[in-house]
Amino acid sequence: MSTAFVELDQVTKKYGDHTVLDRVDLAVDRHEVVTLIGASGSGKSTLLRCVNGLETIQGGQISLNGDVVSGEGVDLVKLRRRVGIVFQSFNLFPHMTVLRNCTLTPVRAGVATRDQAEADARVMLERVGLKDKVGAYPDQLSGGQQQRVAIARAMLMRPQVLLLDEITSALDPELVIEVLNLVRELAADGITMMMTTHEMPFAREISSKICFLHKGSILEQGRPEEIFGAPRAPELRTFLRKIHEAGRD
Amino acid sequence: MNVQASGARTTGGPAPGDDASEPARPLSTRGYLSGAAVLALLTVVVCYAFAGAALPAGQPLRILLGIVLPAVIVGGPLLAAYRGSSLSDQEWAAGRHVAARVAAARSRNASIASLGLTAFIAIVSLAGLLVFTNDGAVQKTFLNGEFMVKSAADIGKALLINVQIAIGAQILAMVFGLLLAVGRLLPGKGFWPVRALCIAYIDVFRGIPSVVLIYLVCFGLPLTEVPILSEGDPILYAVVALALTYSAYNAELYRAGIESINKSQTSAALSMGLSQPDVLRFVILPQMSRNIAAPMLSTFIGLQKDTALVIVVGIIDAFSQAKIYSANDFNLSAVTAVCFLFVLITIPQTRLVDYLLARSSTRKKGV
Ligand SMILES: Nc1ncnc2c1ncn2[C@@H]1O[C@H](COP(=O)(O)OP(=O)(O)O)[C@@H](O)[C@H]1O
Ligand SMILES: [Mg+2]
Repeated sequence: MSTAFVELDQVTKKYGDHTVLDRVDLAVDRHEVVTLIGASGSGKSTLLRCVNGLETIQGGQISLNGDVVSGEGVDLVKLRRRVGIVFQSFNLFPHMTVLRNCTLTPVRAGVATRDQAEADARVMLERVGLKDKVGAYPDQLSGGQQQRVAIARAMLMRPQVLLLDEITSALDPELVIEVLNLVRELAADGITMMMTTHEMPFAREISSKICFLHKGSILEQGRPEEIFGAPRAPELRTFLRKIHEAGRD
Repeated sequence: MNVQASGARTTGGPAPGDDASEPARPLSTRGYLSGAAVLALLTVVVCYAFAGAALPAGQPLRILLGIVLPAVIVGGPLLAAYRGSSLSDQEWAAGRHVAARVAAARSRNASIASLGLTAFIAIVSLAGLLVFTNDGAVQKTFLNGEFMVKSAADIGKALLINVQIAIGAQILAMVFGLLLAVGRLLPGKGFWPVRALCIAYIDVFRGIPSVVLIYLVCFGLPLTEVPILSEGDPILYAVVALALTYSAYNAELYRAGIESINKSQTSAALSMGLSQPDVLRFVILPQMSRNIAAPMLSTFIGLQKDTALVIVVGIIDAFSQAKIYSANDFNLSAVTAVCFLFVLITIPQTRLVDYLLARSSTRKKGV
């Protein structure tokens, strides 16, 4: 058995005949932050969704802390409680207050009593700077605030890995910074993370490893200096040039 | 209005982009004004006829109610429209273009108000004319107060049967409908027989007229002599028959409600580690119930009216009771009373439907 905390081994994902992930190998160590970059449609979101068990895979294997978490007979509910995920579109429950959004799963999963869960949630919400919004409904919050609630909600399950899928892409530019600051703090706390982002400077600063996905395959991976400073694959160079031309690096 | 606007531009002054010497003229007021005036005149004629039929005695009263009253009511806005129109012309001639446009707009609004009032009065008087025509034959047949009062107590009592059937059937139909909807939406290959069964049920029972189903269930089940099934009370059978139909309708409402919730909500809930039943209970159903409250209530109103169909199996509901009275009296006023009762019950509900719809649409706009 290998020693990586999250390990993807020859993972293949197909929708019908369409192969979206093609024999992907990826290892993430504990406390690492790994960022997936690549053009739209290259399979970044799908890869994260496979790790969380939202998608079933057609080949290969995913393991988490030594346990195989893909294939038949895996308890998906249990897996998902170990792997938090935050989406581009926040996906808070609009009919619940911020506090209830944060306590629902811990209470239902039996990891905390209601009182405990509420106390935990208040601490976490204070930490993400939303102490005074516990009683608010999602549609009363700005995008940045909603996304911070979504991160708090995921963190309250004390996940072993946190997956962040383009969590700032739906935000107005002035709100991006508050969310990125929060992610920075989580990284400093040693939370193991896998994320996708279009914020290249941020990826460069925070990641221990960057993986470049192209048409469902990881073409190149390495430390940020290597990927951004000395890209080898021609596709990666093209991708970085386009990002540069768009002024996003 | 747009048609008018472009028409005014082509026939009237130069186009707006022309940076010509003269600005665009105000939209025409003449069409509105003459339309309103003609309709007002016709309406006064109808009113005069109505007043004659309804109040055979007293020429002065007839002139007062048939000519003076309607003329005063529609005359106000009509006069305002005329004044606005001529003021607009004056202002334009004096070169005060903005004031001319404002006056023209006021004139058009007043004409429209007059048209609306006139149409209302015309329809009411026409209906009244119909009721009182032929020496009040319609009124005596359908709206005879004496027969209505006489039958009121019995009809009121019988109406309780309708209420019972409606509430019982609605509760059953809501529960069974939800099961059908969930069954129809069960994911996974293994559940296809359940899905197929639910779809077949919904298709079949939405297609059968309620009245036929009531007939079949209420007369059929007792004939089967199957223990328990054949020993029910006719009212219970009627409840079941209506529930069979309306659970199919409700299932479709639930399904639309569930599908109207963004898939990402389910995704998010699952991704957090909530179980499937928890996702349904805490995330889908509460959001769905807000979305479907209004259509569900509309369907329930339909169900309430369908309770009158139990007359075909001899249950004495309000309609059936009224029919007995009307047959004895050779007069339909008791049946009209049933109409009033149903309308009285359903109007608050239809208002509530509108309120719920308005509320959910403001909520969706993120207020
Ligand atoms: N539910 C789905 N059904 C079919 N194809 C899908 C589905 N989800 C994603 N895809 C396809 O998978 C590919 C990768 O999508 P995605 O993982 O969202 O890419 P990225 O996040 O890198 O933009 C795309 O070609 C997309 O069209
Ligand atoms: Mg994506």
